[in-house]
Amino acid sequence: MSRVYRFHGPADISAPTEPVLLWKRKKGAVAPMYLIAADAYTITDKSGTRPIETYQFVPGQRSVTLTKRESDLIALSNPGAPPPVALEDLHPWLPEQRYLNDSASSFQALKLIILRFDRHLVCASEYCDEKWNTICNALRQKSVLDERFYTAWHLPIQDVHVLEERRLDRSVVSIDFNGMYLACMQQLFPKPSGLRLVRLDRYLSESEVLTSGLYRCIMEGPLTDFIIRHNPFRSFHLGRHFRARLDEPVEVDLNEFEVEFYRRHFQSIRLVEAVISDGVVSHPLAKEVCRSFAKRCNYRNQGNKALADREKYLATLMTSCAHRPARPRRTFQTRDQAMGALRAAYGIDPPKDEPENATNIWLQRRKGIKLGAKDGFVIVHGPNLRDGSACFLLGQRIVARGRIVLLEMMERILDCAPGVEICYTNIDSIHFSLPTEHLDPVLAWLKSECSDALGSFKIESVTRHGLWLEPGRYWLYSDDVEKFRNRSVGDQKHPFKDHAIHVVSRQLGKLHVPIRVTLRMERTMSPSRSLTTNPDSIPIRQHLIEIGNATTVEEILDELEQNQEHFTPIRIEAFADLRERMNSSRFAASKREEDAKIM
Amino acid sequence: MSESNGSSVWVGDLDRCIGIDFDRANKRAAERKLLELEFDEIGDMELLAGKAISARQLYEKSIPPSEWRHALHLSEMTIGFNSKKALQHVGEGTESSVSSFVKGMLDLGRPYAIARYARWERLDYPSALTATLPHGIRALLNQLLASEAIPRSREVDASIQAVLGPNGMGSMTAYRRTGLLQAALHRIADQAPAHPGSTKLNLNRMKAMLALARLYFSTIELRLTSIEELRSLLSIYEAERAIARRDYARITTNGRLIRAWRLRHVQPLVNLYPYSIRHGLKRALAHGVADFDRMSLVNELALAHCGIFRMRAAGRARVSAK
Repeated sequence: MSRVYRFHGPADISAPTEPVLLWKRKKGAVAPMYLIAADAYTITDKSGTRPIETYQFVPGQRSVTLTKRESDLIALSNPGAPPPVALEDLHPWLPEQRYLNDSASSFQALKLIILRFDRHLVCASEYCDEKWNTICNALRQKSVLDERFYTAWHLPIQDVHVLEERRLDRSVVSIDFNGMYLACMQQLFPKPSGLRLVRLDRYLSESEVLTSGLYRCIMEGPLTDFIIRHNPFRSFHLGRHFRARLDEPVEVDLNEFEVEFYRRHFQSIRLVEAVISDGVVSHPLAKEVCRSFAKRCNYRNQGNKALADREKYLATLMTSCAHRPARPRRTFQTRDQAMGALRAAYGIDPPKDEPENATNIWLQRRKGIKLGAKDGFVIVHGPNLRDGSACFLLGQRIVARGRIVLLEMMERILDCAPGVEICYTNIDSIHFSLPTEHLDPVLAWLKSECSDALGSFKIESVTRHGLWLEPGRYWLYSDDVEKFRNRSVGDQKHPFKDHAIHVVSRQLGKLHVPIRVTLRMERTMSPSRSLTTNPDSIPIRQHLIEIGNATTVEEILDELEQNQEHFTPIRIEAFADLRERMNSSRFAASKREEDAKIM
Repeated sequence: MSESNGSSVWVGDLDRCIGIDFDRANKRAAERKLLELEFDEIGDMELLAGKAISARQLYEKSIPPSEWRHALHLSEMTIGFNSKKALQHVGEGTESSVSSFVKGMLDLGRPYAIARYARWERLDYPSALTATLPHGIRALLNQLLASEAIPRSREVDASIQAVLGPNGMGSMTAYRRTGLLQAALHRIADQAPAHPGSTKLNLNRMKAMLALARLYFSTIELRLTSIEELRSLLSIYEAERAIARRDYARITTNGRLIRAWRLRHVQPLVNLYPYSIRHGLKRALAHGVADFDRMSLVNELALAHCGIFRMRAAGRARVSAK
């Protein structure tokens, strides 16, 4: 049986207790900003310009530069001192600021930005606290059964099906949903305080309408080509998520609307048990995100990009502010006890053939849950799922609804014309290719449906070709690159940047030490996907490693190694090839222009 | 008199029950057979310098096949696959297997060497770790200057940077480069108008700083990309040690006379690496042939990983036994 959860499987059922109160967070005092600007040799603040080596950290204040580049320069010239933070990191919605290479003028620019936007600057964590308090006021309490929503499948739809679409008779269309998660917040949620566990142990009947809640389902017998080709289920293994096999039963926790969607794709769905609630509530922030979306449209129509982006940023914070649990440390005598606690609380249950060291390595790499050792004790550092510091139900159902919205749209797109192929999906966007002869009717259909409304979609781009390396790395192009993303490496201006240099500050003892890190594309490419090796297959297709109940660690390691050996080079080659083609065509175009001028 | 119940038999002579659990014994035998089969399947692993190791030998050192497979995976991913030329399109992605191997081995053991060095020189671990980072050593020097009340200026930074500067030092060992840094710090103290001069620098602080600086230079010189570079580094040290051995000058610290003071400190950091890595590097140095078989390199790095795993497990057992 394949299992689809956040980790390996479900957590233990906790003893039923009274609902717990949700805790509000106290407002902390935020240190005042101390503005500073830098270039390679000097810094400027309110007391004037002086050499960069004389930078000093002012206790009780936050030093702030305009750009990340300036804060890096100060960090690199003053190792040991806590570096300033960059305003563009604190408030990513601010209009893009360029590094000026002159600290005095940078300081003027910084003062100007503060003057213009000061009253709009809100601290992200403070904003989240405030919104969380609104949620607490509205919901008051939650049942401990809410922890099920934490261990349930938590990933959005992210997949790449095709490496490159270069066929001459086809076009590539990309669509994006407007405020996907904001729209998903408008649904109804089971009342967190009224959750109860019911044993069902029966098959889903044909015309059944399910109560709102989370159902543990065992699904068998995939029926449609869609679910087999675009299988969204993911199983956890060795610290990564792989595609869950569908030729064996799949165990997964699904919300009622998800059961409704998958029922036509599977022969049978067995409902084991469910966490349901008779009452339903709307999301405490549902109205507020609607207002925020309206404001965003308003600002955009007025041409005020910065404030429109700000609304987008704040709305994103609102979608996730219920998911910030307290992370206590727990101490255990032995590793076995600690692993037992991880299994009971989070469903982290590594298979028997996984060596202990492998488990240690992937557990150490995680951000949320950590296993450490100190003074002969084993320490587990992880979220508390049962206290009132978070409500997981809200976030899980938002993401789950997003999955269904995207899957439904994918189905409709595949049906809209013959020969349509989904190439790439990522949270709220779909890229697909189709024969150009069908392009006009399909665009007409899309245009009749798309709008600026919340939850609707817009056509992002129509190009002739596309290259998709992995989630977060794609280039859509015709004669020139029209839309691209290059996760962790690229910026917004240069489509073919293949590495990025970051400066991170690490605190060791009392000293803050800047470390320069170079991220290279080939080194950050995931080995989880293989490519079709059949030379007749055009386009080249991508396949995520598939695992089931009987998959061994050794098989996965074999596949990862093979993917790294054979397919990462092919991806890099495809990228380099595209770069070359684009550069030469641009060169040819500018040459043509020059020739025209001469004539 | 004998009485049998289930799987244990009463033996009158011994006056107690003797377990004769055939099932369990059979099961164990079957498991053992399966394991033997797995050993045969894995077979012998080629190492460098014509050596080899078998899965059976590893198992005797309590490394089961699954752990070996995992170590092999880590090693494969580190060494990379450069059979294809494709990566050449994108700049520096083209490290040869040997350079990835050397880097992988040195990276793997570095934290342990740093910890051992820190213990040996009585430094605290965070400072030692800081010292191995390029900007970390500067942070430590800034801290020293601040505690000596010497203001930083562009000249001060430049003279420190000139000594710390990455390469071009040719055949100079970390010990000698530390000497240069010491001289530079003395010069800075003498030139600083507010400071009473190099003789008045705090002795303990300087001692710790120089130990940290030597650690920094030692890690810098271990940024190697080939076995040849490793060989030449070791020969530089050998020559330096030969000179130090002839050096009969006795240095007094705290009024004590210590023979061959320098000899103690003229050592490459490799000597503080865990044995599993030193043995692997030794085999690599002894490998007579100029070109290395990729598989042997992968096996060597995997074996080093296993050594580290064992070392960590032993450490844990030691701590929990206390």
